[in-house]
Amino acid sequence: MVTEGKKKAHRAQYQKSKAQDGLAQLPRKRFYRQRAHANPFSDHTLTYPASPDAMDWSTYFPDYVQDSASDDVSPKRLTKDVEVVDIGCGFGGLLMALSPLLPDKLMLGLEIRSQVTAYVQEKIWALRTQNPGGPYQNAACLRANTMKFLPNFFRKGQLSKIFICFPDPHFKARKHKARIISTTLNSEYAYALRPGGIVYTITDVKSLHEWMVEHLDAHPSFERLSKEEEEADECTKVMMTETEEGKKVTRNQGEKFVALFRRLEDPPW
Amino acid sequence: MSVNVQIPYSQVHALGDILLAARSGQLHTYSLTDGKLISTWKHPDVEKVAEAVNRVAEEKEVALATGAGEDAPMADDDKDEPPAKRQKMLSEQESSVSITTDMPPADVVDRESSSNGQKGKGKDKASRSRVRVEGRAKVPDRPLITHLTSTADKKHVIAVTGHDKAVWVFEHDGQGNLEELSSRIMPKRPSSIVVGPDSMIICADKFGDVYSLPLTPDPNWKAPVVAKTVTETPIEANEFTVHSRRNRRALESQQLQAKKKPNNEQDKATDAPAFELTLLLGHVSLLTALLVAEREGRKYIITADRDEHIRISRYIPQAHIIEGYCLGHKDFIGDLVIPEQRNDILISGGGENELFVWDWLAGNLASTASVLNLAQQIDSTITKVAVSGLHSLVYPSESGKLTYVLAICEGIKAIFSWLLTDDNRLNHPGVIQLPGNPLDLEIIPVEGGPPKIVAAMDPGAATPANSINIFTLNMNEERLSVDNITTVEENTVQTSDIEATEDVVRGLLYNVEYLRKKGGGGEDGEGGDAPATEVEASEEAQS
Repeated sequence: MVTEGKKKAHRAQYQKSKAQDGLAQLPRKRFYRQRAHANPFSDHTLTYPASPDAMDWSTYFPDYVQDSASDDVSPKRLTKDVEVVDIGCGFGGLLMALSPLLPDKLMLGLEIRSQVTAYVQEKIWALRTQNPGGPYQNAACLRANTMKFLPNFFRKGQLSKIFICFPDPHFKARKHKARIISTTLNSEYAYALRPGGIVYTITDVKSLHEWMVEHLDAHPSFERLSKEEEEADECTKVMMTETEEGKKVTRNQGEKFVALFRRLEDPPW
Repeated sequence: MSVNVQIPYSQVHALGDILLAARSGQLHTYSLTDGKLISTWKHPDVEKVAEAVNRVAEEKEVALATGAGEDAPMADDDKDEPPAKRQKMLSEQESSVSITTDMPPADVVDRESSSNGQKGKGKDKASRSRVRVEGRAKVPDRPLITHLTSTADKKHVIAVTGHDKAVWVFEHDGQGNLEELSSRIMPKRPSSIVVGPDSMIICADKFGDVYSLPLTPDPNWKAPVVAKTVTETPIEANEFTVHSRRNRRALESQQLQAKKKPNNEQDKATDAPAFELTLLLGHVSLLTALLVAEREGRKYIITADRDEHIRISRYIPQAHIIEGYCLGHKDFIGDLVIPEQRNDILISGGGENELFVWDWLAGNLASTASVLNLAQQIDSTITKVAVSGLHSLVYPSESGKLTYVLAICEGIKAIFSWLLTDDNRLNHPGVIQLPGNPLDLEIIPVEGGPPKIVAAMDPGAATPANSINIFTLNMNEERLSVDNITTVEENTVQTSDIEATEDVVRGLLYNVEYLRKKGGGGEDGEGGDAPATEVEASEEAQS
């Protein structure tokens, strides 16, 4: 690609000048753009914990690190667990909006694209620095392939909310296994969610919406929330208006399709 | 040119006194009492391969005589049915070099222009290099039986052939004679298969999905009529979902196309399988091992994948519920075993130096045991191991029944053994040296005595050893050793379909180490689509 070198140079220059400022400035999105699709089946060069117990959250949520008498507990424990997850958080609009809304919950954005992850991380860092003692301490972002490694981060029943906002539609039938909602992946979401926990989905692609509803509805561990419950949920509105993609769709006067699903108790056996 | 060797036996399975052994696409039954061959089943493709091998050999002679290079076979290749999808054969690339240099460059140009028919340019290049790889590339995919198992009552035998993704069911008469009952083509290549306690076949594939299928297909079963009466492809995007100018243009042309072609629905329905197949669960990773386990009266499905996960799911009909994971591996998992008499324990091994011992229902790691240390006793230059098979046996000793765990590693001429202690440790490591690389093991319990081990081995080209060896076990200070080696009367008829070059044999039978992740497997930082691993790429190509 011809523009590749230029882009890289700009990016490097930006990184340099940013470092000189010393001020906590918000990162600029244009230097973090990345192609919107990533192959979820690829190995990438991901770092992920071997198991949830091996995960060191202390750098992501420094305000919530346990003050244990012994410092040699490794990894350091947090005072509370991550409970809200945004799968494919993109540029993190939802996280920034949810952070003040759910101040007592730890939330994590998961994004597979490294540049985009870096943007969100820097943005959170800048917001934290600009608002000392304020919100944003409870939000973090890391690079991960959730389709493969969700159980490496979260224990059974650890989560109360999972957001899946404007996922890659993967239109081709042979790419459907790459969709973030599928019969088999829903089992993993059910594993990480506690009974009563909620999966939020939103998309501007009608057929994908139908697909997500069909597959979550068909899964015995989930039931769809009624329209009234949907509207009563404060997170629905945030999801509609605050995600970057949601704003874009609004600008284009597109439609948005929302569906919420509750995790049911496992049947006895 | 490399010398042809016989494709060794790669799968063994015992049914009482009958030994099933598979080499390439042939399935033989032997009597374990006298080692005599009882029956032979051949995959239908076996004949095709034999024919092709012969033809290629003839052509080579002709080509050598006339000096015409490889053009002649190209021509008659077109008449044949389209060549089957090539299997990956790593080392062929190297061997190709010597061949291509023989060819005059003009030849290449000529072929390119002539075969540019329907395929796109990129594809054509690929297929050209494929043909060029060797004369033998025109041999259709070699049939290879990759898995053998049987029902608990030993009346049915299930075999999997990898190249065509088929699951075969045979009826066994108890005397070693097999009758083919059915063959079903799975959506993706199976990587592990077990028969559940309810005689359900459970099959894990390389795309990460686990399916169940009934042992005997119901002839009256019909694919559920999907209520999709939409004949034309609905265009999923609309003016609101595409934002860039180029995408809008693409959408416009799509909409035009959709209006133009009213019927093209015939080739759509072919995707669905023509038999009963239930999706139970799935990983987004290549599955490497599958077990059905029972604990406290409840049954579970245990699956392991290339991305270090061991998942515990409930058994049918609640296979969608994940009970837990055994996490801790840092490299691919090659195989799993739940030792006899110790159904609370799971042992896993793969690309790491150790075996892991799990309290699997709780997901807790109980202990580990080094495989590498043992492997280095055989060859001190070994730096990594790839565990390809795990087995367990019960050894009756004076102090009661002892449970042993056996492991084989790809390319290491030995069987490693440990004693599983009551406190869930693997102690008393033992090494049984073999004359060849072990490919599969089968434990044969002997009434009132120590069990026997049947090992299918690749003796290699240098040593014309037997491919099947039967060991009588002995115990020495709680370490297992070998007492007596016997064998079966291996098929003495030399058929060309089980002959192949060493490279081909390696490509067919050695692919565990291949699961290891290559370092830096595609950083997508600059927006490039990171290349899928080759395994997945080839899987995608299949669909």
